[in-house]
Amino acid sequence: MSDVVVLSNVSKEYPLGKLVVPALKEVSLSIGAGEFVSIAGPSGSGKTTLLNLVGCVDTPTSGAVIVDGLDTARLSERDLTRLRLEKLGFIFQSFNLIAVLDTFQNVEFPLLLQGKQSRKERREVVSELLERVGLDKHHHHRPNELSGGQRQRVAIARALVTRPRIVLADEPTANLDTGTGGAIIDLMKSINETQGTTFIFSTHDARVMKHADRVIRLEDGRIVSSGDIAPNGAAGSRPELSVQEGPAPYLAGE
Amino acid sequence: MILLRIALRNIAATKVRTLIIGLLITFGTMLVVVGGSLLSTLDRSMARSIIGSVSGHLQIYDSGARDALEFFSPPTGTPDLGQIADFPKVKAMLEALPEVDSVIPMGSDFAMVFSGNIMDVKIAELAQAIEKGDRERAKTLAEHVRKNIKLLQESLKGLDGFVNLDFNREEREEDLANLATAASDAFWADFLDAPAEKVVFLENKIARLAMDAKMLFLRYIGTDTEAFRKNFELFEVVKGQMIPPGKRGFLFSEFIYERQVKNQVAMRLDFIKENLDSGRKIKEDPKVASRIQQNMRQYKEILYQMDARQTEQLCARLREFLSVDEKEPEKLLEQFLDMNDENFSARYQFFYDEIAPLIVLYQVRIGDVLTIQSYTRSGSATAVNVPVYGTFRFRGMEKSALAGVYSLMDMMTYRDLYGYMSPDRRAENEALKAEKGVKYIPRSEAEDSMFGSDEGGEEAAPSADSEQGPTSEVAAPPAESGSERPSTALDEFADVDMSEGGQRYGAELLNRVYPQSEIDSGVVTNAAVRLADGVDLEVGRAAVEKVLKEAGLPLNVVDWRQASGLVGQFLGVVWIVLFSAILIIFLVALVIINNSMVMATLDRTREIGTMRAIGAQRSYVLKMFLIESTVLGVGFGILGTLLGSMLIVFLGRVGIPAVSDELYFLFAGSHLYPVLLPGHLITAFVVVFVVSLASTLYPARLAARIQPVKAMGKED
Ligand SMILES: Nc1ncnc2c1ncn2[C@@H]1O[C@H](COP(=O)(O)OP(=O)(O)OP(=O)(O)O)[C@@H](O)[C@H]1O
Ligand SMILES: [Mg+2]
Repeated sequence: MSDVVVLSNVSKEYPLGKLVVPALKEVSLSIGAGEFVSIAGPSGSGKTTLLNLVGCVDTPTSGAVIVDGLDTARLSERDLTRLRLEKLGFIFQSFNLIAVLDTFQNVEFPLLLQGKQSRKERREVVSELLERVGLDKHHHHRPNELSGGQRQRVAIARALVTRPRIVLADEPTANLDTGTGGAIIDLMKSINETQGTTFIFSTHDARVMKHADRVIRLEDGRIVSSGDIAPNGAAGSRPELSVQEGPAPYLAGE
Repeated sequence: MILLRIALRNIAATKVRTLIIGLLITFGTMLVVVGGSLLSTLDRSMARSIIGSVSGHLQIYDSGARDALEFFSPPTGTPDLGQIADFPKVKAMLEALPEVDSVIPMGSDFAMVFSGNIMDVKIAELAQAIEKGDRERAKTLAEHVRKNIKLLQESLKGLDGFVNLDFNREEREEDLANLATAASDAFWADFLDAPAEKVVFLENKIARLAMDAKMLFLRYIGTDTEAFRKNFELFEVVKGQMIPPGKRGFLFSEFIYERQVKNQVAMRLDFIKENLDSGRKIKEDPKVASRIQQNMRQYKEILYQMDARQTEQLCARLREFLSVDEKEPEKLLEQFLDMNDENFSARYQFFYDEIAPLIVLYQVRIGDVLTIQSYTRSGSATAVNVPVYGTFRFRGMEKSALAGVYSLMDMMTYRDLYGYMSPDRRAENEALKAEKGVKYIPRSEAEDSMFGSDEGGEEAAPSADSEQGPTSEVAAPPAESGSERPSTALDEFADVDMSEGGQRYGAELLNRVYPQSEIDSGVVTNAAVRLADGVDLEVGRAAVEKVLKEAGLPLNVVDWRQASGLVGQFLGVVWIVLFSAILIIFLVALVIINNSMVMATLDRTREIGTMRAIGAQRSYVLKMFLIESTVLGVGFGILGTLLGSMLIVFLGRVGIPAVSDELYFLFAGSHLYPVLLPGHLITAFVVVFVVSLASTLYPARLAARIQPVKAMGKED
């Protein structure tokens, strides 16, 4: 199977006044197509930093980030933007919907940026996706008229509308209650299973982690365990594995 | 288009900001459209007023002149414009240009004209009657004069209470003493038997005390009257007739004639009528009511003019008309003049039917020979007689004091007053000096009044003993009023022989027809240049300037705007004010839009970061901001333009009334009908567009630089 994301010896340092804060230290990692991967680790361990690098919204201090076979260091700002538009989907912790647009328009937005499809095609794709995420009755609701779970569904639909190869989600359930969070992960999982989209998401929540094929653990900017790569992206016995690996005291402390 | 949708949504979402920017832009564009259209229309109407009345398109005058040519500035003495050397040559040269239609010679100045008060007139008539030996008439006139002296005595006593000016107290006492003498029975007892000395006493000591003594302050333009009539299309004769071509003559400005030459009571009645006709009410309008009050106090103006028989006759008619028993003429007249909205028109009619024929309605009548006294450029006193042919006005500006400021006279008379005596006038003067014996100064007291009377004495009494200096010494400082009566002035005018009616001065001169060559040669201080139809002002100006320069003639060429003086500059000032107001409004708009957009970038950092993260290019963000402010600007710009256009169209229908005299002049009539010019609409649009783009450039760039990472992490 092909790797859609490869990180080799990636370090990231943030300048903080005169100091430099090392957020990632010599991280190497590869994620195959169709995986459903969770990034776990305590606060400040570098989860967001890692996702930002994979998402091409940030650049590493050293090391190489290869996304879908492309070395991101060689791409221009414009090309990186293009790459995000075509190959990546984002699900944000705070949903990040465009407040002045309604559900339909929010989901449609990336398609408009691409400008490849006709109005009719867009309508079909968006409607289908909204049905899929259970929002076929909410086309014309503005974000502030939706609940948190509904908003995140809109965000998921938006992330998927361009049929990206990889969907990145930084703590997608952090702002949701447990039940809703579970449903969101279920939704993501089912899309992963039916469409083969690669999902990489970070979380603190052990119950969320259970759904992952594989859990990559970070601590202090280093990978402490990168789990097993699932043979075919199916869940199988992975959840147990994850739970076993998860350090109980840390989870309890969250 | 999604960007437009986002822009509209954002505009709708930030209501307060939108409202503030909207108001500013709406107001700003309205100002551009309304102000611009108003001023452009005003510019046109002013051009019509000024070009069509006295200025012509261009004016030329000596470039070495000490003063600037300003037709409609308040007079500050006689401006020194120098002279156009060899005017006939200049005229020929300019009229040869295809751009130039005609060149009209001019000169303007002012003079005081003493139009004798009624005491003067009656005393003069008395003297004449005595001379002719008409005892019956002399008796009636003597009674009339005596009655007037009594009235005068009363009014002066009444005045004593508040006219308590220290510097002329002695004189005032002397006046009262003289008046007492003249009022005494002893004075009149043997009057008809030994009148000579007493008439002189009355002429010299009493007549000038009469309060209705009128000093006319005349500003006039001396010109080639025929050329003037032909070239200033707004010129029209109202009363009388045009000065016959080539002859000496004077035309009063109708405005001055009606407002200053006319009997004051009649003039006020006219004023009231005019106001009532335009819908005002005596009851409601204090300005109108005050004229009634003034008239009630001025019944003497009428009584002075009537002898005993006429007074009795009028009283009888008044008693009948008013159905009252009142015997006292003063009370009767006062009652009559106390008019109200109900009885005004009947009494107005009565005034003109019954009273006007008994009084001198105009102090100078058409057909009279007017004596104009002035100081020449060299500072010596001079006087000329000139027949009054009529009155004129500029069409459409009947009611404008500014347009009516100038009276008109022929070039010859102007030159005499200017001080360059025409050869024929000089010859005549010599002849007169030879006949010293016939010298008769019937109006010596007039000169006395001119420089010493209580009213208007301070107007312009040039230092009489100034040497025959160069022209530059003309603008003499006004004498300190009253402190010292420059009695020498009297003596000076005494040398200028002005016989009555101008029979001697000028009987021959006044009938002469001067050929064009004589009209053109001699002093011309400035000249109006009328351009041919359709010639652009600047093109015409350039052509005139070029030809003058090539000929080496040192002449200034100014356009009508400059030549009109304050009035022309007024519009320039208004343009500047409007321009500044628009500039300020749009600057404020620019700053506010800029600030609010910068705020918006901060507020929307996460949203913009999100857009960038999910694949929007920087240019997209840039566009988003520019579209937002353009929509805002253009939207409200359209609103403002629309409102402004509607206002102008509306005003163009109903007209803006000229509420003040200055406006009347500027509007070239009673109303200004503004016209909507597409130029201003385009300007408004361009301005709005540029301002909204410029104000968003910085915030838009700021927004475009927002990193996609900003979308990540927790909400702040
Ligand atoms: N923009 C930044 N500037 C400076 N330091 C930063 C920046 N972003 C992250 N860091 C630091 O880098 C380290 C890793 O941060 P990161 O946000 O990746 O952790 P995290 O695992 O996502 O934590 P959390 O669970 O709290 O979200 C932390 O020590 C953090 O303080
Ligand atoms: Mg994080």
